[in-house]
Amino acid sequence: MPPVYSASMPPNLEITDGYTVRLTALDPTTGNQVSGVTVQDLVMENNLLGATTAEQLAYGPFLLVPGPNA
Amino acid sequence: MDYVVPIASDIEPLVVTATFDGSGAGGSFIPCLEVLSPAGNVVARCPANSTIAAGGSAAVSWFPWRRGVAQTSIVVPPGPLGTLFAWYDFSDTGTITLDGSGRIQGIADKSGNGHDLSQATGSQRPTETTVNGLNAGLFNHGNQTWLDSATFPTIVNQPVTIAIVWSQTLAGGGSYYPGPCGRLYGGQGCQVWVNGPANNVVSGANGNGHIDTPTSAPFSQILTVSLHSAGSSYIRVNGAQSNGGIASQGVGGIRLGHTGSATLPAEDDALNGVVCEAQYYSGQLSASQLAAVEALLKSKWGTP
Repeated sequence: MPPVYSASMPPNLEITDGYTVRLTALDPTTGNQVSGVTVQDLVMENNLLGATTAEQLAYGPFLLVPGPNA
Repeated sequence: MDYVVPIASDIEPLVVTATFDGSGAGGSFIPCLEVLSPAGNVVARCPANSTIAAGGSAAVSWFPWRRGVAQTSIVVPPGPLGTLFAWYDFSDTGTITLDGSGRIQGIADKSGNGHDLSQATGSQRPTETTVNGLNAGLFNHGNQTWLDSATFPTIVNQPVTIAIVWSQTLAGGGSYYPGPCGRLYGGQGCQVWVNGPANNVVSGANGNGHIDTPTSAPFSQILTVSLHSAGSSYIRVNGAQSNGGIASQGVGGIRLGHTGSATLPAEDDALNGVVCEAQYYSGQLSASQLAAVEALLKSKWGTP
């Protein structure tokens, strides 16, 4: 079992169709990709936000009310 | 390894986990999650906060970051709290220069002010010992060992606060004993030494000092904090404070391991004991700073 590390990514990172999520190994000095590293056992758990072919209104457990002097 | 978001879908990653096998890699690497646009440009990059050594492997999980819980306890920083003008930490061996015989040729000033100490004569260089599991400077009375600075171009005016952890290993009785710090000949400097007849530790300048808490030599490492502020100076030994009224002066140079009083020959001598750490501050530490410095040095060096 290799050592386990936690890393962070932005919250609410919405990625739309056509975009790619890539896991890669970078050289710590140059930032270039390091060859010879294989990535295995990839698991991604996502929220599926829905189709993008038509605009949709967000909905949820909230209620908008007029503010003061509205 | 790539994952292309399917047509007509939006996703929000909650967790991404994978194993990076670097057994075939020629160098170290950082696992990274990237997002690429349809044109192939990297639009976001989330590197892990760890570098995997060449040939190593890692199981890495990415999570969305979250706002941290507010800090509710006071964290004492691992260092001085006031305005330092000199700091000598013998536990930090990276600041110590040894000669070919394993003796301390010099120690760097960790305050960054350049008040480094050195000893040009090989036979008068202190050696190293261990106190509370940490490296410390061992000074020998018979060899007249000490380390000193160049004369400061400008005297550091009072008030001055000195926190120093040290020991005196000569047998007690009837004599004055040199202390851990003093002044350069011809220059001003605050002193700490042992008044053998009175069994106490004193500070100040030109012999004008006293403390109410008796401290009989020899003793293992103690922590003294002395405030040098004209006629209202005082000294604290292991948290017990003397009455005020010690005459003192500013600092025009620093000598560790030697009291160095040009006007009082009885005190003009070399320490037989240990100096663990010495912090010189400009001004008077506040009560909270004083408490934190004493707590930190007591914990670090195991003083009473």
